[in-house]
Amino acid sequence: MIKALRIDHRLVHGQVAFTWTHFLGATRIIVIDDKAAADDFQKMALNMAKPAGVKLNVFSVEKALERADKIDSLSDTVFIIFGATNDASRYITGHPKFKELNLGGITKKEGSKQYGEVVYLNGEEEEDLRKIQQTGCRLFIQQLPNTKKDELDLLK
Amino acid sequence: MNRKTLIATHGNLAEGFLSALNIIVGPDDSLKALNCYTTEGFDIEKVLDAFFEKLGDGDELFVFTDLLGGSVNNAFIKRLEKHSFHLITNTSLGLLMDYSLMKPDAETLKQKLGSGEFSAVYCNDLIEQMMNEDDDL
Repeated sequence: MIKALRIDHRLVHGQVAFTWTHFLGATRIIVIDDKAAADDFQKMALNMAKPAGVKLNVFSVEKALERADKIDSLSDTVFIIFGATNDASRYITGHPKFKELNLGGITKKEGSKQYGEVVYLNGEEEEDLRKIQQTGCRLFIQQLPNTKKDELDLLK
Repeated sequence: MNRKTLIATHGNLAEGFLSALNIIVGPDDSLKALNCYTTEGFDIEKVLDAFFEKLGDGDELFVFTDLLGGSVNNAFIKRLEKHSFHLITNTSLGLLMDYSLMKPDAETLKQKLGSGEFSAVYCNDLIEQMMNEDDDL
């Protein structure tokens, strides 16, 4: 069962590995990120960062989409992490079944606008997220389970 | 029992722990920090006397200190003669994160400490092992 989806450019790090995983009761983290999936050293580093007793997969968007139905039907409590809006958009529009997406951290870039404490979006990223919203998936900005949750509506 | 938790260290580490916890697990008002020896004439005995005086009978106290053999921990060890509380030392951030999230009872906490999960790790030797992790469903 998929419990939650989050975009976080740091992928598996303290907040994700410990706090969210604990809060969600996740037993498997699936990172969907083309860059990480193509980088054996980064995959190894993510394995080192995962919490004890939690399973981890690192898939490219293409590989994740091939396995999408299988991921949906896993007996694990699954927490999906995307590193970037583009990967998230390709996965969610390719498999439009999700109700909400958490925006954790998206880094500042040239020409990006600030939406949250650590969420910055440029034009392309806004477009990626609009496509996600058009599938019926809501967006919300929230850093930690016990900090404020702000809905983001880019279709307005 | 009413759980109370104190993190006590040399210098500003105790507040530093809270600062790091605030970023990673979010605010936890139930944890208090005691920075020691950051002011001139700091007298740990006086500070601890005042602290234990305020402790109620219904309070279950957990104290996390920085260093076995250090004067902060030594001062708390002395208090174990007269007061009933849990004293943990060589505290790491990971241990405090786990504690903040799980609020384990003393027995569970003892088991976790025995597991070695929160001790320092030589990462270089982990790399080989992690490189061969199976990565499919």
